[in-house]
Amino acid sequence: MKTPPEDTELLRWLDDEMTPLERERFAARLTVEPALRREAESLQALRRTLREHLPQEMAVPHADFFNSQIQVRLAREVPARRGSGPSWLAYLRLPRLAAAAALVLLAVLVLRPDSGVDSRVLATYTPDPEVHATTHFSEAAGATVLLLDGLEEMPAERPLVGFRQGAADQQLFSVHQQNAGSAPPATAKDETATLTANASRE
Amino acid sequence: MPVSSAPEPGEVPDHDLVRRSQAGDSRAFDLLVTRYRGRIYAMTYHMIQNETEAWDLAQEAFIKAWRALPRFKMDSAFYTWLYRIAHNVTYDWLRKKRIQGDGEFDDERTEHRVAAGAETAPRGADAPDEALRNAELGGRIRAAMGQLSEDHRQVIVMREIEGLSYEEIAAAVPCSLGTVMSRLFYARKKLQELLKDTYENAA
Repeated sequence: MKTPPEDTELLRWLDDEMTPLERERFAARLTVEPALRREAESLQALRRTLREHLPQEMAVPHADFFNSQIQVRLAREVPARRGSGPSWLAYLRLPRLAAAAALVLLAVLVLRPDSGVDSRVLATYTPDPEVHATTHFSEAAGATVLLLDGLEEMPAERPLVGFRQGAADQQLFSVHQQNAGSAPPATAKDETATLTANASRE
Repeated sequence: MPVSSAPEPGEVPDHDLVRRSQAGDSRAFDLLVTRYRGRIYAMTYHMIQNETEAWDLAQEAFIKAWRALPRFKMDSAFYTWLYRIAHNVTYDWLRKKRIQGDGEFDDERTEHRVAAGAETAPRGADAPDEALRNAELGGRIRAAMGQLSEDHRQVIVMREIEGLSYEEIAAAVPCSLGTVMSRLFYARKKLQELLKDTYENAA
């Protein structure tokens, strides 16, 4: 269905879609065309009536229940959102963390006690000067511990524990926050991450 | 597209609440729900003409908005973005209803059943006879809206209630500008026919 051409102008005038010049011309028409003026007035009255009785905002029935129901549904969605989020491997896209991870892997490979090589960490290097690496051998863990300080921010709840290579229980490294046991911070920023190289095998 | 009204002094701006919501803060999202539920509900109600279904659809719009929030780049006002989601939710619902053959106009649908505890639109303290006249007129207008086709009702809601321009309506529907004008023209003709005696007597 097409709008009759003679009514297109009236429509655009009513809806304020005309240029100032068009509006001026149409106003002149209204003064000399009584039928057009009557129609314009009728449509303006209709608009006023509609706006008066069809409010842009309405009170929501049982508004508190409306909100609480949404919250209930959101609570169900949050685990799903976390579950469907990027894997922790996505954090390896961060250049600093990727470099640090590479360093850890290197350390693990070099320091494997069963590799038959009596290795020691003579020096550490991090490509980012803001990341500092230190190592020490933990008798209790039977592993060399590599500490990386100044890593990129990542959500504290993002678990890195459980990365396994080869055998199902061969844990390559894990990340702990040094203040483990206290309430988890919002992010792991400024927390010193401890990456434990554990080369124990079955 | 409709823009959000500026927050009241002391209110947290939308973009702050959006950022917090994007970080998973459902309390921040709850504040956004409170801020816009009245407008979203009004839109769904005017389109659906049924309080219960409009309530459900408004909720659905907020849930969908929550799911889509990670992708919201804040390149438009939050309400504009939310309105688009609510519009799509409502229109999808209407489309499904039409496919199911349940889209015929039903007088009972336009009966404004106000739930216990629900407030009506804020108005001045009308005299009883004035209030009655307003209620009757409101009922007739809703009935007239219910007699419009969904396409026509949609453009009337967008233009007369939300104040969208032709271009914005065309983008939201989506359709051509010519179609917007044509639908507005015929929708108004129909409403004029149904309501002329009402508003001309009131004038």
